[in-house]
Amino acid sequence: MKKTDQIIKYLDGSLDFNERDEFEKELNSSEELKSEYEQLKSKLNFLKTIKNPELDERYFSNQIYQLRNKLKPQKSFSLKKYIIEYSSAIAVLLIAVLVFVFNSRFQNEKTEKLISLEIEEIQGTELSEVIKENFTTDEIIEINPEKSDSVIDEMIIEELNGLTDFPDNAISLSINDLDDLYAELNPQEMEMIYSTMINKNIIDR
Amino acid sequence: MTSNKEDFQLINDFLAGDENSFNKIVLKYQKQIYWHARRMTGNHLDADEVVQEVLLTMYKKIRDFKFKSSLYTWIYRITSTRSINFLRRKSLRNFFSTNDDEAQELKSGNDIIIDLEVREQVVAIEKLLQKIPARQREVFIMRHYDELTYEEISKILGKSVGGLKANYFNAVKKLSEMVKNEKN
Repeated sequence: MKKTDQIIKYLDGSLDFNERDEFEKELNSSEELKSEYEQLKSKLNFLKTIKNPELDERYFSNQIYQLRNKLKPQKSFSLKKYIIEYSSAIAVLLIAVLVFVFNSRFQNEKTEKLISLEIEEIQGTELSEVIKENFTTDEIIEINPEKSDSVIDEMIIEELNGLTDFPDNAISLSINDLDDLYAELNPQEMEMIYSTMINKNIIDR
Repeated sequence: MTSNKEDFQLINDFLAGDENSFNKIVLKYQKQIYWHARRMTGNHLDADEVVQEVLLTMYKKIRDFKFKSSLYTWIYRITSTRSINFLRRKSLRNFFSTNDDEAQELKSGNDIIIDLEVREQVVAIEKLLQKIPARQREVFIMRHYDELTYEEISKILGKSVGGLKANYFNAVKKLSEMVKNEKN
């Protein structure tokens, strides 16, 4: 076991009786070990200096008030408010409907592409790979709406985890994490994320 | 460790309709929730967002409390989950956001630590903590600052003691290396 590991375990109280006894004997006989031990102990104490600083108590006395405000019953549903709030989403939806109607004459050609790949027979990773290699995101949605969500999620996860400018200490995401995130993001945030992904060419327009 | 009997009485009183009992629970645990959230997120404003989420979750879920664990463990579990979820959302937001500098400036200007000198010291240490992976940071905070045993941490996070020790030892190694560089 490396000396640093032993010191950390000793300070943590994780060595068993024999290991502790042996370590203490060495600590008393080795100046080098003693010096390393003192240094690590002092660093850990330094990190503890932030343990209980004096805080502005008004923040804490206000917390219950803030919570109670959040728990107050919501105002009655206002259609006008929702139309204003989601005007951009409604506009996008209308454009999508128009584009759909306009493009409907190309449907047959895409259905042929779907049949030729027998996509319904392919599952799991193979399905994702085939789809990613052969179709744009829009086509995935048109071809197989039921499976499109999971395939697109996988593509997003793959891109996000592989992006070099993601911070080093970021948590790597899984499909389940993405589901949790979707539940917590508001429509504006989702819209912003999707438009940025389109701009960065992570997903197709 | 806090008194389970007293906590369980507060929950029962709340479930029987005494809203003030929930306030008492909040008053009892709000600082522990705040400090865990703050050390995880690295600043007051983000911590405040997590604290509000935790309190709201507690209020909504306390009816499902099974009295199988202590209230402290239950609250800590919620705080841990909300903090990690917040960091995930923040990672995504940071990646897609264009006004990071502005947001960072706003965050550093807001704090509730009274003494300016202490505040600077706290901010410096919080920056170091932010440089280690979130899972290691979480275990380090629980062990080093809250002085929980590995068994207690294991109950909260649902992870094995061996894995938690590995997280803690790695966190200590990385942080001690960073403290050395900081001092140099």
